[in-house]
Amino acid sequence: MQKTISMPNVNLSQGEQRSSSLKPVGLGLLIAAAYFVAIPLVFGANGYLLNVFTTMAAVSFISFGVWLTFAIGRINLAQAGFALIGAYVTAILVSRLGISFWICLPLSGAVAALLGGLIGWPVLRLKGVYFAMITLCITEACRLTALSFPALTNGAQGIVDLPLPGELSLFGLTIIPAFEKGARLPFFYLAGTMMLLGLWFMWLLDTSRVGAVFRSLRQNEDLASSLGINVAKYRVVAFMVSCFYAGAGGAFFATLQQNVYPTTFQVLDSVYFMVYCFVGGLEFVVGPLVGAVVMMSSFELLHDFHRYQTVIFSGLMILCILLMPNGILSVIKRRSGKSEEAPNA
Amino acid sequence: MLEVRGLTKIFGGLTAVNDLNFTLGTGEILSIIGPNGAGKSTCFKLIASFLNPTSGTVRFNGKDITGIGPHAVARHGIVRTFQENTSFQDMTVRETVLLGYHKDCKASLAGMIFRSPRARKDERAAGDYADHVLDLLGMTHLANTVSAALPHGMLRNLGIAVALAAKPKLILLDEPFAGLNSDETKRGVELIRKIRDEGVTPILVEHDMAAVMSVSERIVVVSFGSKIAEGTPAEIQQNEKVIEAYLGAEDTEIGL
Repeated sequence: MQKTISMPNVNLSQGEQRSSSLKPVGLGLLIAAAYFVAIPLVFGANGYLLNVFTTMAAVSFISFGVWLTFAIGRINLAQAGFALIGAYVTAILVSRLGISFWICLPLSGAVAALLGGLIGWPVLRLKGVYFAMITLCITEACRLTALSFPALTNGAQGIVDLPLPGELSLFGLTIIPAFEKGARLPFFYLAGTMMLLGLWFMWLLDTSRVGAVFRSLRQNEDLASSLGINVAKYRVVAFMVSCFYAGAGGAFFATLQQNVYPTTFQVLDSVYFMVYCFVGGLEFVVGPLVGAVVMMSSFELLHDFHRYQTVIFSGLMILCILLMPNGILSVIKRRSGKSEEAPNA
Repeated sequence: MLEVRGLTKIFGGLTAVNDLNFTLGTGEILSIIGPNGAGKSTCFKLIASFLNPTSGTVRFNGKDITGIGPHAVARHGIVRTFQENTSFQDMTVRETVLLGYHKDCKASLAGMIFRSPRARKDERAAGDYADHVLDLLGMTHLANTVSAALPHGMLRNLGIAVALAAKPKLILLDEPFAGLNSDETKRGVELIRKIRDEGVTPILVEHDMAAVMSVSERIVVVSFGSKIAEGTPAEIQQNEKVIEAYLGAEDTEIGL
């Protein structure tokens, strides 16, 4: 807070106050620009590494949704299930009806959000381990559903040979050219853009009044409802936003891999999305991003250890949780402007 | 203003509240007292719609608000406080009070997220009102303190502050003096009068008899779920049934 007080135009509304303790938008844009320019320059020749970055960005994007359900005090293990729904929506629409990927991408998110709203309305009454269990079942149910309706989903064979995204043009003006076969850079840019837009929206949400309402639900739903806050509505909204991230992210992966199987997203993925949030830190919007980057890059860096790779990796993870139970970001945490001790009255 | 008719709540075989009737006029300070387990807090929960009554109605300014749900009751202008210390642990005092103002925010969800002009107007109004409430409760110096770090007395105050921020017409205070020392209780009594002068009608459920007798204008006595007496503090102190309900002896704490 010390810093912000000297800044002109200080608005002490809740949102502004919180946002000032986070990194400003300008810095975020600078890092984003550097990411978009520097990574292709340095690693552009190495297709494998570029793919790792692409996956990292898209996985962070999906994890933002899980982070939001943590914000309302729910452990969400349904994220992979909704990602699978998004993946199938895109796969079916692109392959059967020939609809453009650029329409399917947001549409998949919307379908996942809609289904999430329908399922979430009754399910969100549950809390704690019960909610975690039922969402885990949802992920599994999505996989089984994909297996059970071969007419629509092609069953275990999956939907393969999906076309690459075509050209996106508006009023005859090409905004995004068609993706070329084998080119990795377009997907790198797409994932990066999705991740940044997703992060930006999460940040806006978290620092707004809606974010404050979400946090209040995590801490005391009774008190919130006694103040006239429609608890049921807000938690469904949070869950729907979360499902949108899952659906859009799933659509991206289906297109990146050009195929989708019932096993493309499973319970283990749900667990990973959750773990990224834990490792990064639940208190910060960038938590899932940090978690995904740290975990995925450390896994890649341990590549030279071959068969010991996973053992060392899990050891590191356990250490991480033991030493930083509130996530990596908690170490540099500064809740500026908020005295932790009550002043003597 | 508030009209409770035949309110009954049965939990399994236990009748917690039995055919309770009372009315409340605007600006009147009413207390509901009774021995432990008499059904006072259940009665509050029924009015605030945290529980659905087995039978009976609650009418507020002529409108039937029985069992419409806590947030809907709050939107009608009835806000309750909690017996236990209830707060948003990680939030500062000011953030908590700002949330209390939430039901008067007019902006849409998207408007709030993308900071529409209306949302900014809401936030300014919320900020001004929060400052007013904090000033009223003498908590301005604690505005940036995290709730979890507050001492007990201030947490009780915060509970009232956040309820007041919701701009209620009627405030249900569930044991506002629980665990307060005599100084704090004295200030609490003053505060309740101040709240009433602000145009908010208070109802109390309270065990501290000295405070109840000094602050209330009318008292409803409940025992085993049923109303056994109603009247001014002086009348209640003389009431045989009340004395019997409390200790069955003459020298009860009621006279203190």
